Amino acid sequence: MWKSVMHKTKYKIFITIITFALFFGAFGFSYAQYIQQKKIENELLKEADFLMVHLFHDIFTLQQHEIVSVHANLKSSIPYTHLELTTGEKVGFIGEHIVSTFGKIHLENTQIELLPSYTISEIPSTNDTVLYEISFTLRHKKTNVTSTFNNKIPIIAPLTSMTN
Amino acid sequence: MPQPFNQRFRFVKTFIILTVIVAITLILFLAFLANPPTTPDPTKQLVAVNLATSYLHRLQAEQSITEPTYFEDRLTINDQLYKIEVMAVTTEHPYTLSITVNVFSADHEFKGAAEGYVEVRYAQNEI
Repeated sequence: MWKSVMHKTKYKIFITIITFALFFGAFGFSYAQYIQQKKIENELLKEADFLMVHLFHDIFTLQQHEIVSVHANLKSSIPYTHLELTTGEKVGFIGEHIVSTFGKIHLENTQIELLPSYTISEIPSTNDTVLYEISFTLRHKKTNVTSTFNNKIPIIAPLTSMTN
Repeated sequence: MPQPFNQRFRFVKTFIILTVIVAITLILFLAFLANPPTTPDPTKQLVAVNLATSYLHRLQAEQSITEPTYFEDRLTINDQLYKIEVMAVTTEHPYTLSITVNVFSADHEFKGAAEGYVEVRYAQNEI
């Protein structure tokens, strides 16, 4: 009798512990995957910040008359989208890197690539401010995770104030 | 009827082993929870410093500041908000203003600063 009760109790304890172990293990696994996803997104954002640091400085300090035109051809063997400046310099994307007044800038992380779907376009604004919208997509090669980044940068328009 | 010693010992041993397994699982799980999802990023600091420099260069190019002033602005880079503080004060030179631009990330975790001068054009005209 006593032996039978003990056997049942041990069995219950065993099942309970295994259930808890599976439950927390599953949670731990899910959380580990979540951490991994966050880590990759963070790496993509870091690269996007690195690219934008260079593009932002060039475009944010540009005056309207310094921009000659926007060139874009994403179907050529080396796709490109860039602004051509009166100084002859180019600011934008060419192939898998960006060009700015700092020169040619490559991505820091070799696991991340810049997809040739980038755009730079002037967008209509309600006030006197002239905005340029920059859009680009980064892809993590191993996991195939992609992130698209859109930024609107105001250039210096004549007789405007940023403070409003 | 008392339980035989062997049987009790086996039960206690099994219980201890299983408790240790669960404890290890729990500790691993809690270790995951303890780790923050993202690590501090030096690029954010670079963005803050670059924004401050860019903003200063823009103010210098615009020449829109003609007197001592203080104002705040906001800029968004890659969906992250940055707060900008601009302070312009007089200098020993009558036609120049000293400008300090401070940039803070939305959570105030990162800060960038840039200092420079702007020439006050209208002052020459007034004289």
